[in-house]
Amino acid sequence: MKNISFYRIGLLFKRYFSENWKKDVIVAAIIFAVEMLTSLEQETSDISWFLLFVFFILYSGRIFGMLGKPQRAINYLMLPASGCEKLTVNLILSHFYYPVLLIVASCLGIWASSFFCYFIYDEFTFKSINYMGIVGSSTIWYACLALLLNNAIMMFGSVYFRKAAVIKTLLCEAAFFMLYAIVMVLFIFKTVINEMYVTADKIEYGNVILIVFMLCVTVFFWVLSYFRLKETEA
Amino acid sequence: MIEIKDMNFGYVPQRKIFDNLNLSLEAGHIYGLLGKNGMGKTTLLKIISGLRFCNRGSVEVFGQKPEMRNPEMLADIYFVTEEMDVPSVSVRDYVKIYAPFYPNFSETDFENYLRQFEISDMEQKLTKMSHGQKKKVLVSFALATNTKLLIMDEPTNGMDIPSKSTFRKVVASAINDDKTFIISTHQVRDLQNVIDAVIVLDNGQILLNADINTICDRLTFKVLSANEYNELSAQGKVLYSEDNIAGKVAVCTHIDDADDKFDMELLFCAAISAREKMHEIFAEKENGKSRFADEMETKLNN
Repeated sequence: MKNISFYRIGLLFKRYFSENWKKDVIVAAIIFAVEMLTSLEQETSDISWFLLFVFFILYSGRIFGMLGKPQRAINYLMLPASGCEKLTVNLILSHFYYPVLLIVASCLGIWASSFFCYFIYDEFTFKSINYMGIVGSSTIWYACLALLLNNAIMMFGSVYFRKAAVIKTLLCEAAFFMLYAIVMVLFIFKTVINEMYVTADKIEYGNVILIVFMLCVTVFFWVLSYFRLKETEA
Repeated sequence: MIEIKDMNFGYVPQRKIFDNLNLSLEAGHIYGLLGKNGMGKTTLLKIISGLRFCNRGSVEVFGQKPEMRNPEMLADIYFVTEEMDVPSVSVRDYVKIYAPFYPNFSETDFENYLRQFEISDMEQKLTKMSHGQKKKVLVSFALATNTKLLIMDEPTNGMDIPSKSTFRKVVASAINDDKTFIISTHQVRDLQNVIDAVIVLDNGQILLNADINTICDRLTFKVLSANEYNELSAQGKVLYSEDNIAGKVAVCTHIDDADDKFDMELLFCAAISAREKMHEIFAEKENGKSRFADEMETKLNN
């Protein structure tokens, strides 16, 4: 733990917000505007998860973008903070701060459309957001885990690939999942051939394994990112 | 302060930039790192600061391995790069963001250096500044961090003539017995009066690592008439010479009572063109032969 100092982590956050607050405000404003405009005609609105997902990917895929330019990489690597502290800050920014920022901007956009409707249609209806239902369903947890895993992969991609990190990481991910899909198809094919029966117990057991697997792979990519950052040269 | 032993480095295994390089730098000096293009000056600076990792051998800065990028060690190193990438913030905000990383940063020193460089607007954004102005701000910041090791790669590039003079003044005022400055440059005349030790790098080896007093004790820099030149040449004392209007400017082995003036550009040319003679002159140290001397001797014998 001697390589972790909360003071330096605080300084890294301060550095990030001082240099990037304008960019973040612009992104939040775009999400706000899109949600507001798309919610005008509806009484109940869904958050545009797809739009947010694209922004999460882009953001996490560029979180170590400074390593792509030699001078920026030198400045960043020479900052008196450990690799662990730098990774922690970027992990919090890409996995927690940014999702919260975008979701808050989305909600505000949807609620703002209520007030615009009042001016347009002369009637005020407070728009409710359809997120409670999603939280209640089990699919949201899988979606969150998938997002977490994807963010971890994108973060690793951004520290691994110097140039065009987002595209390269997505290509690698696509290739991996294609291989995974082929393996799964072969597995299912083999199951059918062997006439194995799929029971509810087996499905439950499989779901637990899937969750554990996704969490493990997420942590694996965080650790991998740490070592890659530690060994990055400028 | 900095110990490099038998260091090997190459971006690709087939082409070594440094081959068993040895170098020892002490605190309290301003080292001028000279070398031709592509000889690895910037690479050496990067290795010292932990931005590149050597393939073999050892590099120690303050007794630590720089590639570990220990935060405490990084807080005592500042690297001013040749090209700069600055954030879109004002000078004042830059200080607010980055100064807390450096425990010995002095805001008074920073303002003083900026004043000397004639930069008064602290609210101006760094991205809106000219290359020279950015350099002045970053050099001022670097000096104000009061780090034990300050590395500057071509710091005077882009600076106007009065600023180069100011640069020499502020650098000379900032050095003390605890600090080491390493300045890599091609603009030798810009830094001639501020550097007190010279390192010449050539073909992956340190050709020369000596302080100015030692250099002046062992060499003479002189304008020679045709007769003097012929006489000294016949004695084998001229290491390097160039024609100029007054005759020949030459680097010779030490001549007693000569009225000479140290010239870093000539020294560099002499080190490159008369390697073996320079080696003979500088190899002997007060406490016996240097490591460099031993290595060169072995190579020559082979």
